[in-house]
Amino acid sequence: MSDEAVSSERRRLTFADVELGSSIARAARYAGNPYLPETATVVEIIQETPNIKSFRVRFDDEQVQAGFSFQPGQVGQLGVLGIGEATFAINSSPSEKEYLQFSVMQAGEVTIGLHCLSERDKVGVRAPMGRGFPVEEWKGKNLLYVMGGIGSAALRATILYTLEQRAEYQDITILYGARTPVDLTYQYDIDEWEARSDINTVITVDAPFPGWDGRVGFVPAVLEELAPAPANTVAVTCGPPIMIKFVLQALQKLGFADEQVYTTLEKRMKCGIGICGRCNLGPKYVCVDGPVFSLAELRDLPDEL
Amino acid sequence: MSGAEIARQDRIRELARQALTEGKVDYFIGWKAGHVPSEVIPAFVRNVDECDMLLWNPLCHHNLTTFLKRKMPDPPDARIGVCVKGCDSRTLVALLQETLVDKERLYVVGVPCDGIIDRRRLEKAFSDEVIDIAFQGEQVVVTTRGGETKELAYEELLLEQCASCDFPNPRYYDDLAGELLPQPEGPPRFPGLEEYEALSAEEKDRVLADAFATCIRCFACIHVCPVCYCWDQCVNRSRRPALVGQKVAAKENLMFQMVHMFHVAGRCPSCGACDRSCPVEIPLYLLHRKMNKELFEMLGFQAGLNVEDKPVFQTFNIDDALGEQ
Amino acid sequence: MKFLARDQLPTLLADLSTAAEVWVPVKQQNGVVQFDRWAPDVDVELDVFLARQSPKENVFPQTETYLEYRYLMVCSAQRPEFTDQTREELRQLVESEGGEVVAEVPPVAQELLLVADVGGGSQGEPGLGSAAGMDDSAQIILGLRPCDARGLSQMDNVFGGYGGFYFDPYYNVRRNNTTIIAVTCRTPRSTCFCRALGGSPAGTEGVDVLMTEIEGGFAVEAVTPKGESLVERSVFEKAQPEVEESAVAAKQAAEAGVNVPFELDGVREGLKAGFDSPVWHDLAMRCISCGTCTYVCPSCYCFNINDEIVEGTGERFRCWDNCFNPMYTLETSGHNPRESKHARFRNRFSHKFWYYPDKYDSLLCSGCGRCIMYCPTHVDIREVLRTMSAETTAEKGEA
Repeated sequence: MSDEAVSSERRRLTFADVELGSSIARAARYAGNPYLPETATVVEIIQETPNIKSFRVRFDDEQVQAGFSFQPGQVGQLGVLGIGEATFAINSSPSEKEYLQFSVMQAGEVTIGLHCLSERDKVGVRAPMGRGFPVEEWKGKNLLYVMGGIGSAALRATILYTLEQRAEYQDITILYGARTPVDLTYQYDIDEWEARSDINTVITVDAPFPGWDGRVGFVPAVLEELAPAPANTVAVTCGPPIMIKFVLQALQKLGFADEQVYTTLEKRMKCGIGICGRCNLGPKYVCVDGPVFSLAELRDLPDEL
Repeated sequence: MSGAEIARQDRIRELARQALTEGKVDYFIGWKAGHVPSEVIPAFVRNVDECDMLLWNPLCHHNLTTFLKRKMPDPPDARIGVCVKGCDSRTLVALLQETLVDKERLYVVGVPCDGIIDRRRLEKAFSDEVIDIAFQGEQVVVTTRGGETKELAYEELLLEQCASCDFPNPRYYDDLAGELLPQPEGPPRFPGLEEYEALSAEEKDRVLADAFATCIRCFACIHVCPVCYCWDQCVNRSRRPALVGQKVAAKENLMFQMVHMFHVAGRCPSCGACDRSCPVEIPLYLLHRKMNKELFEMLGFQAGLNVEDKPVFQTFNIDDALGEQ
Repeated sequence: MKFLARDQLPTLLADLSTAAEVWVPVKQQNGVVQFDRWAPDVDVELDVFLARQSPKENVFPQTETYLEYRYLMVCSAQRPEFTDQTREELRQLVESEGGEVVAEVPPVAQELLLVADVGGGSQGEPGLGSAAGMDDSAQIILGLRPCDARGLSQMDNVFGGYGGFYFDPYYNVRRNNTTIIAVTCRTPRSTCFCRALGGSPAGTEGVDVLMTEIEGGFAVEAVTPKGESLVERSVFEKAQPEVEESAVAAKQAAEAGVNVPFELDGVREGLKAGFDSPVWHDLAMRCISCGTCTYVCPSCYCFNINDEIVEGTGERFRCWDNCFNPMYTLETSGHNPRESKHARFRNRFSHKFWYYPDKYDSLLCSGCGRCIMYCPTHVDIREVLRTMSAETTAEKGEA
């Protein structure tokens, strides 16, 4: 193994590399210390659903805010001192320069902590991290977004980006479902998408609900009904594991090849920089090699989702 | 090895063979030789023809009850045959008292035990690696990797707890491997505490602080403990609730061990599995044996004696001597 | 090559300790040998074949603070008058006291904590810990075995951003300031298998200076430029030709004592081919899923990050963690990708001989054998690797 030719990149870094900031992505202002968060202030909190809030945060350092950029699909560590950090997708548009948005479902220790925040409170942010969606590669193709519940948070930045670059893509379909209408996130987006004639927006809920006159049905079933043609199409999906499982089956039935299907994974993460070891899927770390994977890539990895 | 011990070993093999042949169990847990003959390890036998690797000798220290506790059996609903010594059987009884293992899925072979060798103490007597330990009557013949051979007296090599064992016979079993040994008379003994008990409160604090400063929080003590059944959800490393600090430092380490001690109190018979598993040799018996002594003196309670008994913390007796006496 | 007379060892240690903190294997009160600070009254224990733990803690402490913060004010959220208005008043109060509210910790523990003064770790200057605020004192570790040094070198890849990944300043500040003086093994044990992994009881990977015990003292070889300058010290004598001869003989004798219990070729392929093999269940049977093997391992490096608050001060720190910990991969939803013991068990060996090699072009094991010796049930890595290698052979046989 050690006899293999070591390419120039296959070496350890030094402090010199880091100070130059040449070869590595950095998550902190302080050169070479990717563990330290950047302080940011909560500028707006949006109650998306009864248990999901979106936080719009702005870096305290104006230079950092101005210089911040990310790829749609990339994630960040959002944390509260004294409680801890957790990984969330950055779901504001990459073109949004005023703030970063994260959506948080109340579940564990950190998310409960985040839900207690009010505007003007401080948070720590380490971002961007990981690998985003290959939106440049997708240019000229049809896009099919299939999402459920809080899964919308992982795809929102990508949807916003591709809508901003609308002319670069062919047909865009957004299929979004939640348990009830109350659990639908980003109502402000949905209203806008539904009003647009250049995208096909399908919103569904799992079961009939008082006052809901929209579509009723599980996302995978609705997907089969819509029966999008796989030719020149990329399908991007995110949602609860059980939904993803059936969506992937549906896509396969519709004739989508593994290379045409993308998803973004969740794992317990701590360092977020490929060192601490827990988010591995075989030899790949979800935090640095993901969270975005094509189904073709996932097929080559051990099944430890 | 004495005739009685060879007879026990033969009987273990025979009972294991029987249980597997009859389909009474999916696998049978006993002991077998490890990577060197001086090391004995838990054996999981699935096939009848593997039964001859099962061993019985004074190196069989593992308390196999730990492989019966929650989330250990594989598959989870396996029917298991298991060997237990006197002390091991008390941990099994403790689990049975609280219906934490399913009696119906167990086949228990009780093994009367003359005492287990303190392998750690023995090893320290040699600078070279001990690779073979053979038993010839009352003598133990130790061979090192370099070829040195030494004969030592079995009696002198016993674990402290075995030298004053109160329960050489299993308290619970379906079948017995060998004849029962004479039951010792007199009140229970709690050896090795005299020195500690003679200390002042401050000195005790210091002794414990020093001992636990070396803890590396590997959790071997908790995972190996047969009566520590919430092991995979242990509050000691849970962050929700975050009750015990995760920093590795004397104070936090002691806190974590105290939580363990209090949580197994009433189930722990001081089998010593935690003590023997500690990779940095922390004298864990100090906590557990001391706790058991207190429980006996205050409440007249000894853990894991009879399946029908109620666990000490589920009963109340007006005559219990609690608090200041 | 140089020579150090046995009786000159204390002189060397005293000399070294003027410029750096010196760590050596020391027999503790309970007879366990661990690395400890050298002082004139400390006996160096070089007779033991291996210290209980490698000195990995010297570069990767079991607990390491990233951030420290102090609370200027604590207020119970359970108080009925606790409103946004009182929050605002508190904020103003802190500011009027000359403090800055850097972060506000919400009332998870029924308390609102206003945080100020964020510093860069326990060693650090105030300010979000630049490398300068970290522990950069020089240290010399003497008396570790070549397998331990190789373990450090394997961790260097992970923390050193090998292959364009992230660079860990905490580790590297310490590592850059560490000099490794290894001592050739004299009495390898039956559990040693460094040679199966391309190592040697006299290996030099990760070593600055290698000392080999010979009659009357040590044969001393500098391996790196750091080592070269160290052996310039006057306490080292010029080696006579017989020193070199004795050293070669000592190394050969040690080599002969190390078994080669399996073929490395085929291990990675076997692990890949056998990922779903039921044999993992059998192999993991006697594992109790504790973390002993990883904590005594010279190259296991996985860690956890926690925030803890005690009496007005808080810290964010990392501490060693291990893949056998059932909570290691437990997700907030309650889902655990490695819920069963055999999956956690499989991860350790796969990490060492498949995942890590894929990422870092080397192995994450140096064959010290501690995991076999100190495992409460003596789970044997050699047996696991042999078994998994056979998985490929079996597959090939079927094909």
